[in-house]
Amino acid sequence: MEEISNIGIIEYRNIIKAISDNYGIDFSHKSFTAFVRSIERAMVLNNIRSTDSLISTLTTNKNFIHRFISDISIEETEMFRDPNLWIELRDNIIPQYIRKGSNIWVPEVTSGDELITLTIVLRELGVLEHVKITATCFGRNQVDIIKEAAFPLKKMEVNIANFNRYSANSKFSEYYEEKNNRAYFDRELLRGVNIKQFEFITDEPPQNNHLVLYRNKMIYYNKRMQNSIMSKITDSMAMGSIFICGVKENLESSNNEKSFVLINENESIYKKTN
Amino acid sequence: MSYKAIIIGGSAGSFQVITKILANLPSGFDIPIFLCLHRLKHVRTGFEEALSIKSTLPIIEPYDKQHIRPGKIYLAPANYHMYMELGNTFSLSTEPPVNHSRPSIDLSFFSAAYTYKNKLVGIILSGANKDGALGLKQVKLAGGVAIVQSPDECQVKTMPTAAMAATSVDYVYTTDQIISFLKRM
Repeated sequence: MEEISNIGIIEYRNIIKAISDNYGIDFSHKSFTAFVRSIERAMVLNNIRSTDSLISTLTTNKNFIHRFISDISIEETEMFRDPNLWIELRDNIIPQYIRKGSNIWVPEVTSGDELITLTIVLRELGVLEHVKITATCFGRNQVDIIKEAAFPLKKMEVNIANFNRYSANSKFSEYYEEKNNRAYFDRELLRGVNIKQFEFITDEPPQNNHLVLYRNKMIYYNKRMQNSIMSKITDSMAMGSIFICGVKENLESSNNEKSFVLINENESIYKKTN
Repeated sequence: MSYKAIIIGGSAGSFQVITKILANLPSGFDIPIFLCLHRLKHVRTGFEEALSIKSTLPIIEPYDKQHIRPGKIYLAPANYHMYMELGNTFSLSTEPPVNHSRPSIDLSFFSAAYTYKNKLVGIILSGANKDGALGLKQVKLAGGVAIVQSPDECQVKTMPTAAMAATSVDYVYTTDQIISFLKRM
């Protein structure tokens, strides 16, 4: 593992300014430590050895930004992370709150682990074809990555263990094929999913959502941006709809807290009531 | 020297050491303590409760962006990395494991060293891998105090030994000596 970087606060601000000046993309609202690590990771992947060199590459090579955005994105950890949440979705939330024609929004998809998990749960309940799912992602390259639905085999051990905690009655292996060291998931799972690029600051979110699944993404933003994102999400949701964030994320002290009631504290499941 | 934070990393064989330390801290101890301990990632509950049984101070698994308060013990949650940020808040992360670990001791120590600099005490306890060695080195480089549990006393000495190889630690202490050190702070 590389040792701690030399990216101090001044270099950090210079990098953010270079991206903003050249591409109009604002990263000033990122959570500091994780974003520094993301920048360092992108530098290692692209063999860039100093922040000056990174800024110069960002400024002179206009195609590099797409690669950079892809390299700084943080993959979702695993499928069926927190199996109890997916059990709760299967047994209670979806039967109670999702109807034919319901809209589901999964914002900021990166590697697609959570999206695939959701589609498997919906298929097992027989409702996948009857709902409209929109999955949005930040980078241009990510749309294709998500559509490919291919995951490194080394991630499958934990995925299988999680799935077995989720379900004793079905086989996870029915959903994918192993090929070239990757697990290719059934493309039919994503057939009806609208996968598109989306940016919280500038774009209009899909509207009238009945379920928004947004787990472990807010952690990468500062509190101010979290509030601004939650305002957009709240406005996009139908009355009585469901919002789910990560088990260690919550809406406490959020500007939008009053719009929700917490209906499952262990799994961070909220219902929009206001 | 007044310290602003204490960070403790441990793995195999550290649980009893931690519980003994937590049981012996004075109830008015007001420096926040961060615990980054290797744990089963799919078992979310039980660890905090087990550590709480004998602890004189409240133990909290922080939420993302929760404020850091004096007089509290903070435990890195299962399957998240835990960072201490400038401005006295936590942030959590689901980045890939480091040293096969999430939470990673190195990453927590790095962020604490960056935030608290020479006002930090870092302690590495018993454990079976090298996680924490570079983190403790960073604590030392930032001007903080580096302590390891005496390898002779450890159930598994790999972790403190690796830390001692990575940096010149300030103190090699038994559990009782660690407790005395903390009480004098």
